[in-house]
Amino acid sequence: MAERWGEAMGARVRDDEAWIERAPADPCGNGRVEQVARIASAFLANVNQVIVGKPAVAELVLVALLAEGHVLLEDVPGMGKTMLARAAAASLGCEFRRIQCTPDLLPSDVTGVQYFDQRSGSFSFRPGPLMSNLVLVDEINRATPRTQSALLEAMQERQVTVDVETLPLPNPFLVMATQNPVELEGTFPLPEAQLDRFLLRLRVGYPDAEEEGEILARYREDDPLSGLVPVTTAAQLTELQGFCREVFVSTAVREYVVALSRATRDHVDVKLGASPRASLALQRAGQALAAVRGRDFVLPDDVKHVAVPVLAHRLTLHTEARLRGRTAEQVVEELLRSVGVPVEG
Amino acid sequence: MTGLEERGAAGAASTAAVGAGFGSAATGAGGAATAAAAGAAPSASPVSADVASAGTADAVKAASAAAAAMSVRDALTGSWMGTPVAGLLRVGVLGTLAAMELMCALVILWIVDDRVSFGLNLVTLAVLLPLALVVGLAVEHRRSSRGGRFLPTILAWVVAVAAITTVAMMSSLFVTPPEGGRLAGLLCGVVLWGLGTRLSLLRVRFATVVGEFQFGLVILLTALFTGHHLEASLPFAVLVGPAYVTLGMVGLGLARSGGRAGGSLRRGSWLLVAAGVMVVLVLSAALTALLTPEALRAMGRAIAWLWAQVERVFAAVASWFPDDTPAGSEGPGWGSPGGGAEETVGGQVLPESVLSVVRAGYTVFAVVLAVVVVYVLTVRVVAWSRISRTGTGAANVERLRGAFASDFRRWLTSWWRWPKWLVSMFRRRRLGGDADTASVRDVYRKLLAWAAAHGYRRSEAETPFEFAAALILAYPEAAQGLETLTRAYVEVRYGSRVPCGDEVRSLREVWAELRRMDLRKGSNGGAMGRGHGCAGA
Repeated sequence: MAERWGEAMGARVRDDEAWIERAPADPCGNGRVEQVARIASAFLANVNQVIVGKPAVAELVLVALLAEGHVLLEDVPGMGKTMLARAAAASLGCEFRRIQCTPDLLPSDVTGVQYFDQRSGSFSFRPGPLMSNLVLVDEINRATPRTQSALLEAMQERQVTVDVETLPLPNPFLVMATQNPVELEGTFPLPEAQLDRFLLRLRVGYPDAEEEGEILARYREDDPLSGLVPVTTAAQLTELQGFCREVFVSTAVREYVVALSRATRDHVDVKLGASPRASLALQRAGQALAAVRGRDFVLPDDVKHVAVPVLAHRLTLHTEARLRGRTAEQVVEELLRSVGVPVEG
Repeated sequence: MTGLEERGAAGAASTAAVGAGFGSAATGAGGAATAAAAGAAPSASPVSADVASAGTADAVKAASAAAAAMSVRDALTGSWMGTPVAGLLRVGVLGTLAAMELMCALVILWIVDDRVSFGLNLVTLAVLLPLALVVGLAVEHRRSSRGGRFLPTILAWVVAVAAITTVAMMSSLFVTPPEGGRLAGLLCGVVLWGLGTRLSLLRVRFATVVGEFQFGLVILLTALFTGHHLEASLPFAVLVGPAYVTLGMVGLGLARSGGRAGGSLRRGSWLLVAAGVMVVLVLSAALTALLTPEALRAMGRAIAWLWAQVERVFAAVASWFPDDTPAGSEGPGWGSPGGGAEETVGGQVLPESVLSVVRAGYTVFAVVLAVVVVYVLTVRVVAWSRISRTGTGAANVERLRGAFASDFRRWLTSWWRWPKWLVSMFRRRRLGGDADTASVRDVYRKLLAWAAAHGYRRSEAETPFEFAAALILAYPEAAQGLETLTRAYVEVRYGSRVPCGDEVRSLREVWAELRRMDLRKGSNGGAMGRGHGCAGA
């Protein structure tokens, strides 16, 4: 019991010290976070015209965009993954390209190729579909590991290397990759190193009966996608990404993020837990979500909201756990229910 | 002890207390949740997006459905009683565990006393374990429900010292104990009290009860075998075994009934029990071979020697006072019972009553010191075993010896945080604007304590908005006030915004209004039950 006194006092002193920190006044400056929220609201309204009943997924796609991350959409065929990517691209006024992965896809098909121009007598570079703001990589697990590696460099370094020349990718740059969790024969599952480079892994999920009826009604005659109007520009989006970086993260929230990540490493079912890159991703995603919701500071609720999409695909479970039917999502949700949130008292 | 899980203490080492189904169920709800929640609670005051998104209609349904199943399990694993049924189950499980451990302890004491003859009064000693369990449960319930920490803990210490000392004195009330008997009685009392207190901190899970049953079975069988080996008289041996197994099965059944499985048999769990019993038999035989009569006699000699050292210390202290006792007179001495109404020390005549008080004071001091050392050692060992077994939150698990050393140092240095806390309180007052921040904190703390008193204690993993959503479900008429207080707190806590004086005054008014409201639980309040595990916030 005396130990509890000491611990209580220690916790109280640490708590008090944390109170001394002060956020900069209006960290994003002159109501910029309101601007982010306004554009986010318009983006969601836009996407909701095309994708029925999945505002949470659309919100997380926007979060990934604002956090300068990439998205892996994993779901069965026909869920609207491609439609979602196209709607997002149309709403953002960004250049959009699509790559359909097949086993015979070469890296040069993705990044571009140097070709000899007979008229000029020199080599010229023809950019590939990767040289775009928003790139949809369909069925990424059907591409060979060699082609997947070419995407790796692009996603991480935001540049491509063709022969000896390194070319920067445009800004903003977002890769939305899709993956089919069934029909895995003849596919090349993404290795951990590649999965770790995706900020979020999302599942669209089946619509309910009412939503499915709405889809049929909406798509009966017109294609809602064709009527989408961009709500922002690429340049403005780059600015918004900068605002999101400035969203205030208190020490308490930062410690919570670290605690969550560390807890994944110590979980009995987890063979390989979240890396420091995952902690950073969690923080960045939390900042973006806070900005989308019109706040200039991150709440533990924001961290909890993005924890499963950010962390689940970065965990490797023990074989025994997988055979028992445990999933990474369950592990993360379990940790969210157990790791303490820094709150008074 | 295997299977022991000590409750609470912040850290990541504490095992999961199930948080509100709200937050986790609503994790994926996102923006559209706002519309759904607003539609789902038309009678409540308008609820903001943040609170609504933390508790959507779907999440409410899921949480309500899960709450009934969770409440019993969480009450078992928490520190408070939750619903009456859950409370009875918890008391039932802990009671059977206490009976099992008491049985083991009494068998051991019977054998030891039979061979070494300490003159232990087993009846009075047997009272200590259940008394400690009751006191521990009462203290923890008081702490968890009222939010008070220190007074119940101090009272618990006072009761512990008084009970152990009383029992030790009563054991020698009618007969003069043999050499070392008093100390043996004190040590046995301390251990039994520690066992009872440990039980009150137990998180009751099926695996925990299995571990306790198996470990206790090792001790009991070892004791019985040793007793037979030493030819100690054990007239009750035939009854002890079946009684212990019966209690164990009762405890396992009670613990199982409180879990999600609802009492259904899972083959894996019962195989675990059966395998454990086989291991127990082998271990008991091995331990019995080590406990020879010579070993027990050596133990008795060691305790007698220890008591002799204690008497030497008292004699050494007495030698500080110049001894002017005339030659040839037989002074009563320090340890012997009153040889007269007064005793001469340094030329001064000290009445026997004063000397009695001094003797009692030294005895109490020695006892308290021994109690503190034994208790701290037990806490450290248990905490280390818990951390090394669960492995959550501990980056590196040290060996026991190292862990104890560092923990003991940390415990000593933790007392230094008192003056630091006082200084920080003073410094915060001097910073002017921070006094308003502290006021917001105070109001929120009071809100948490008020909610806990009404049976809604925030669990560790619950955010303020999730907690607010749960409270609003229970008390819809207080939605506006709860949301205002929560929003003000999170802005100060996580946004580090400094509130102005007017805001603080307004918050205090909201808080006062909240307390004045005649709050009744909403339609979902009963279903929620709030049977959450209340791991020490």
